[in-house]
Amino acid sequence: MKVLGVVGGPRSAGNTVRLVEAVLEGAREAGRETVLFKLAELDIGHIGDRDGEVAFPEDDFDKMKPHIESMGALVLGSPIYYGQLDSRMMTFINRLYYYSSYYSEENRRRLPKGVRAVNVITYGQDDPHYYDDVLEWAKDMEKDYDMKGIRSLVAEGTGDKPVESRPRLLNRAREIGRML
Amino acid sequence: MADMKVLGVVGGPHREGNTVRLVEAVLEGAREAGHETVLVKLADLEVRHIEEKGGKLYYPEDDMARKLGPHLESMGALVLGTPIYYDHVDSRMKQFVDRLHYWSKTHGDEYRRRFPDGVKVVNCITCGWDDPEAYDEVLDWMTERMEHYWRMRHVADLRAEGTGGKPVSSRKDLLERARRLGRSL
Repeated sequence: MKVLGVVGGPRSAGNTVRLVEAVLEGAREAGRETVLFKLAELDIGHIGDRDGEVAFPEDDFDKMKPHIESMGALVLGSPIYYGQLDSRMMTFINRLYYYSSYYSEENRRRLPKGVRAVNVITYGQDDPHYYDDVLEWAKDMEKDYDMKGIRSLVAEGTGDKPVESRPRLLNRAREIGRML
Repeated sequence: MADMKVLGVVGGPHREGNTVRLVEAVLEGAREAGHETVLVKLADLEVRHIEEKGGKLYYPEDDMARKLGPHLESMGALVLGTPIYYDHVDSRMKQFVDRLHYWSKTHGDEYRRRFPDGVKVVNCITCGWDDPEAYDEVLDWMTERMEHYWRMRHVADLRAEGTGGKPVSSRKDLLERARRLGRSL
């Protein structure tokens, strides 16, 4: 089974990447194949318009498609900016509309059934439940794609407590990865 | 208060869609009241995400900085328009909000000072679902960000629900409300 990690945010070696990598490490320990995409290294545009209808640009999202269409689990990681996932992750999620049955029943069928999901969020606020509403929002989005067994991982207070300094959190991330 | 600049910023991919129509109606009203108006469709601009350079956040010198920046720094009112995608603002609008970080206290007081105080903000959302109150949480999210981070003053919300069956152009009542709101800015 393939585990696909997708990380938003501008940083290519920050807290979010570290935590998603830990989930993928766990998945590899359990014998899974893993693939990690950092959105900051890709060129992924917004949904476009052609004659008033939604149109999808040709860009690096095309590189992700073979992995999306063969994934058994999806690990989404994003810092929280202004109380929501960051703009790169929001763009990626908007682009998943390509696989929505509202857009194309045929495309929808190319998305595997029963994909498991893990949502990873990181932020400076000290309360580990401060953005539970964002996690609920992400879960609802994933349920719309019939994803199952959706788990969450939160790294709060990353200013004082970088993910690298939190062995228990990293262990939990690996444990979640092993269970995928 | 005449001669105020009213800036409309519209997300979403469509340049002539429901959201643009609704924001335009607010701006029409504002012009009737003697205000200067500027409409920016994010789909017409090249705006990049915040980047990282040398471990620090970097704000690209793109259309957000060059074209929107001068208007943001001289506006008296802001009319935000976005379609609802995945129960939230669309990716262009979220990118616009993330890029406003340039003018935040976290970036620096000298940047925060360039952003006008007490800007009046109007939020406009459009959605296919035929329930006008379905996305009040999103409107609250927009208002809370604008008031908390940039000390704007929330004036009103406009909702165009069920746009599939009821396009904004067919809703005389809503368009008149939007124009009236624009006149009162």
